[in-house]
Amino acid sequence: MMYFLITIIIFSPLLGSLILLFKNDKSNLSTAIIGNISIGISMILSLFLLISYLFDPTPIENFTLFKWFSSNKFTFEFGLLVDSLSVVMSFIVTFVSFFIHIYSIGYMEKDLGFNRFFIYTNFFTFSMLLIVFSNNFLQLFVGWELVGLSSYLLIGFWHEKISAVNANLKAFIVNRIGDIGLLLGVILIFVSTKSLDYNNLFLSLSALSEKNITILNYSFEAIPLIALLLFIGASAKSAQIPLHFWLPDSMEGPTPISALIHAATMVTAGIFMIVRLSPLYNESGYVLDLILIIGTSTAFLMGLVALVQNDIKRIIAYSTISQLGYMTAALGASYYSFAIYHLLTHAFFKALLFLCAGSIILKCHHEQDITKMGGLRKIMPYTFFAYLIAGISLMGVPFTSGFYSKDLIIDIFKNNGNSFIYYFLIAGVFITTLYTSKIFFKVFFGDNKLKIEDSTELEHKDVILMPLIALAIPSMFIGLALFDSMLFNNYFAGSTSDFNITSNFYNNYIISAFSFTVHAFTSLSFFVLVIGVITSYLIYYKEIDLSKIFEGKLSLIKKILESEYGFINLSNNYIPLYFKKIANILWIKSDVNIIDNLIVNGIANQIKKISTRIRLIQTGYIYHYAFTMIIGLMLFLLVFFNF
Amino acid sequence: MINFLYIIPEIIIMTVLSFVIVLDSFFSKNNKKISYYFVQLSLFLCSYYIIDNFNFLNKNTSNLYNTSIFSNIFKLFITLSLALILHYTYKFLQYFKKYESEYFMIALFALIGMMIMVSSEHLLLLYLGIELLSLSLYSLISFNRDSIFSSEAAIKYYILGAIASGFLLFGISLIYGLTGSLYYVEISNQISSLNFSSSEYTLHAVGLIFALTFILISLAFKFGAAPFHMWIPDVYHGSLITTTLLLSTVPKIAVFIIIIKIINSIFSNLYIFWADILFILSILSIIVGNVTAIVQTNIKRMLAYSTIANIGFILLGIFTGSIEGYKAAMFYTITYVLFTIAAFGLLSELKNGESPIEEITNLSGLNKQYPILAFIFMLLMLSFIGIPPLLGFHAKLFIIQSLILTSNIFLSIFAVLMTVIGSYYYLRVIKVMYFDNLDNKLSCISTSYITYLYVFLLVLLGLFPDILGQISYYSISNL
Amino acid sequence: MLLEYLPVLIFLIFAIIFAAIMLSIGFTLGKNNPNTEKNSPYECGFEAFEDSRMKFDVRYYLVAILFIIFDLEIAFLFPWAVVVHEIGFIGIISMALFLLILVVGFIYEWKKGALEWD
Repeated sequence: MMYFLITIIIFSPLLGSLILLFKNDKSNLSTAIIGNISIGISMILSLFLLISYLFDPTPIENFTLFKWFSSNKFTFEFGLLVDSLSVVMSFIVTFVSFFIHIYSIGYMEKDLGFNRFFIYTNFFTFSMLLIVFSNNFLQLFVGWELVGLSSYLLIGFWHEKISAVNANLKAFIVNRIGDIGLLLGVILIFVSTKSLDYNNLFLSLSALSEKNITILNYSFEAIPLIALLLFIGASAKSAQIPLHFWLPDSMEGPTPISALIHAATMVTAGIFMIVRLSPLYNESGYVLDLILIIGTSTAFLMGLVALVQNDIKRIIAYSTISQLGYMTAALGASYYSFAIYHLLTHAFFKALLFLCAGSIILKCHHEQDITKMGGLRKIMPYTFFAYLIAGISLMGVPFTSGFYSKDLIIDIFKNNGNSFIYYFLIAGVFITTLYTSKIFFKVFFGDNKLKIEDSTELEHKDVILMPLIALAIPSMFIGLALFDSMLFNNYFAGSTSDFNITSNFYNNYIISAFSFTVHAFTSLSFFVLVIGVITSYLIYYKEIDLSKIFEGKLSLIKKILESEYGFINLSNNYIPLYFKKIANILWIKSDVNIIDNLIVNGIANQIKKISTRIRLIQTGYIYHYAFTMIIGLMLFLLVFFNF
Repeated sequence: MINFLYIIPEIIIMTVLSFVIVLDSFFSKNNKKISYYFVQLSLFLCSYYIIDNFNFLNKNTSNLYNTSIFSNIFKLFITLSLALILHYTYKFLQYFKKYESEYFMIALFALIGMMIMVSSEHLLLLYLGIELLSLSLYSLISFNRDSIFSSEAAIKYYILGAIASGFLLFGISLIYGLTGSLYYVEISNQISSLNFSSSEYTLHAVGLIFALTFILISLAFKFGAAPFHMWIPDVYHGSLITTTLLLSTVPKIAVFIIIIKIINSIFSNLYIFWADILFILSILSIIVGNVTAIVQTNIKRMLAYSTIANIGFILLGIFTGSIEGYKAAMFYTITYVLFTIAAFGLLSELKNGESPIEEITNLSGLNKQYPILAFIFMLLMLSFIGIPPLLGFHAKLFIIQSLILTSNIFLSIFAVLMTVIGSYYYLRVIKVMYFDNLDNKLSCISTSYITYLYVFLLVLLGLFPDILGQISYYSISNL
Repeated sequence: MLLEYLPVLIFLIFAIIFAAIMLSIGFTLGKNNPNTEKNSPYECGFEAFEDSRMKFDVRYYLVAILFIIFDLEIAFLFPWAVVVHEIGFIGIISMALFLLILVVGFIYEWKKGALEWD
């Protein structure tokens, strides 16, 4: 039963994608129906599974769908691992995807590549589900690569735009760098445990902890090395410093894609993988500290960059990176389930933010610069309220979803005494508040600079507004609704290995969702939030010019931030430039001269000569043929006389 | 008491054949196609009973005729492949107004011949099967008797085939003279009692080695391995494209089984001798096949040389003498046959003006007119090259793996290099289809959903190669 | 075991030697003075009407082949008839099947018109 259910959840989007691929008629309607129904089926089944798991999170099902490949001693199987973690992930992925798909019907309506778009997005969802339910590293790797591929296709969806092509190339290449890490990690696991199963790895952890791996005479402990390599893969997918810089550029794709990448599918893969491998990471020692530092610095530094951006989508993109930093920080502190919880709430409000941004962009005729917008509150009331909800959830105003998940992560560090990290994350809250309100005030208040007419009809079609409303509800309430049942009801006990510390945390500090909320009003983060709101009100609404007050002092910082700590130059200019130089040398010196002329063409010419000669043997005379046979026979007989 | 249950498939074919032959001669010209449907029906009935027969196998190898899992799997495979080939043949002959019911009957005779070959445990019975198959093929080749090429091809094949049969009979008679039996088991027992390790061979041993050489060489002729390949290009070129399709697929399976069976059940003790023969045969075949195919312009001749090259790969797998090698060779044979049927079945559905496809350039610009067909054909060509995740990749991989496992490292490097050379002529077809200007005379007889379905299944098989791998392994271990 | 074939070998050698002697005796001792009349081909005393290496109708082959098939059938029937008591029922059935298949072929060639000359 379960077996069947999961198979449908995974393969329904793939099937949809395949049907669309071979679909003959050009009608948008059938494309929309097929594309949405295939995801819808997965979504409904995932929801059903999640509800049943909320009642009883214990069942862990691990089955093999089929044997994929057997080679000598090793067999590679395609398997499914269903537990509370994969169920909640599949719920996030399919639920958010489904509403983004509906939204896309309206958003992509006039686009020529309507069908292509749904092929890609369905495939994207399928690839992500493949990762979510995999029970071995090979399948994980396949899904991982497919996610990379589909993101490449989608970011460059408008392939006639040069910037889109550059952006998808960048995303792909950066992800490849991470993939090398992942692949090396997987290979190391295979070499040292002779298996690619998660379970096998977890069982052989104690044996593995005594193992050392020697590379060029340097000896490394096996577990931290594997964990580090896998984290490189995860940090590329989940956009952590220093492999984050592809994510802002990925905004070149259509806005629903940004929502899909940022909320449901791609960037969550890295976080998910580390949570899935939590037993490994628990043993990995210094790697956890590294993850913690990277996560915190990403959360803080990338939030700062968001402040100086003016493109609405780029701001939200940096906010995603920053929020992913929070999750990574939670991972670094071994509170895996908290990271997943933040991932859950973040998926909803971030998807909503992007959909709002899309709706704004659509209304403003593809203008994305927020300094040029204004006064849309009256014109777009639905988008305004949706943005308001998503925004306060992102800031972490008590009672919203984002508050529960984010404050939990911050409280981890308050309670384990790591005050350095704690203050950084608190500062992150302040920054978050600033950039969220910046969009809010600049877009919805002030003068209507773009002179957009206020029509009496609805601001957009139903298919665009419906997902906004549908996502606004979980953005507001899901944090509170699932707080008790998911975090402290031993929901993750069977799937992540942080059960001890989280239950301890809960019993000692929180007691219940309500008390946690009330307590929050007295906490530091709440005050920072309030200060943030007031500050941004002053800066962005009253438009007090900061530069006058801090003349000269901030300009340097602003420059650094605008250059994104030099990553823009590094990734757009320096690295490509020097790569090109080296590649040119290799191309002319070795490829053209040696490989092409000497080896490839040289051998090919020789073979062609031989070929024309051998062809002459085929004379067409039957006695030649018979003669050849007899000669052949003689030769074979002679061979044995030599023995 | 003789149990006829084992040979129900053969009986069915024979009965339907006798029935249809009589019936067909009473049909009017317009009703003759009913015979074709009878033939197809008999094939499906036959395959049903083969599957049914898995329950009662006769593994007693002292019988003339046995039905092991191995032979049953192959019979099933041969029968189903033949059904598919005849489907294409029927459509092709109908379109070009060359339909004769005899074609299909002769094909059934060939099928019986192959079934006898696969199941025989006795050298004379084997010879009977081979001759039945060969005679049927001679007449199929000359089927298009208006064409001078067709008659020439048939005569060539007939004469050379007679020489090869002579070799085979000579080898068999040598064996009979030396061991006094024609049963595989008894010959094998006799041979295992001999000592071949001493440097001084007895007359006996030399005689056996001679017999082995003669038998293997005549089988190599039937298989089409260099230097006994000379008939292949001319014969393939001369016959109709669907006959070429038939010639290059099912008989190869049958001969493959015979080779495996003979070296495994008769000459297993003479490994060092037959390994040398197979080694030379395979190296020569791969070189001749791949290198000569490059300069061919006729697509049937190209297929002929690619067949030779592929046979070289199959022989490489057998050459290792290990279970892995046999398994790989079997996997390769099945893959090769499946994909050849698809590729040339698809070609038989195209036409150039009012004549069948002959030259590679006839295909130019296929993509512009029939993008789906071009895509399918590209997939098939890529599989021949050995591009993952298609089945051809796994086939080559297993062969090379078995070579490495038996520590023939240089041979595996050789195989890979030759694959690279071989990829040229397959890729050229893709280039012609996709990048050349459209040949306006190119059109399609009928788009067949069977082809689509079939290719789809092949792609699926490629994604899950273990299905075929398990079948190969299972049947080889139940030899 | 090869020794059993020794008589065959001796027989072969003697046959070859004997034939060679016979031929060579005739060749060396016989008178040999040819002329054009002697060398010209003739049929039953008449002069040849045309070249003997001419094309002739493929139907001759057909008749010859058909003759051989039914001739060989007799060759099978004789040994079968000798041992028919020993092989019993199965033997009779087998031969019946064999003849049946042959009859099928016969019907086919009849309907195809292979037995008609025109």
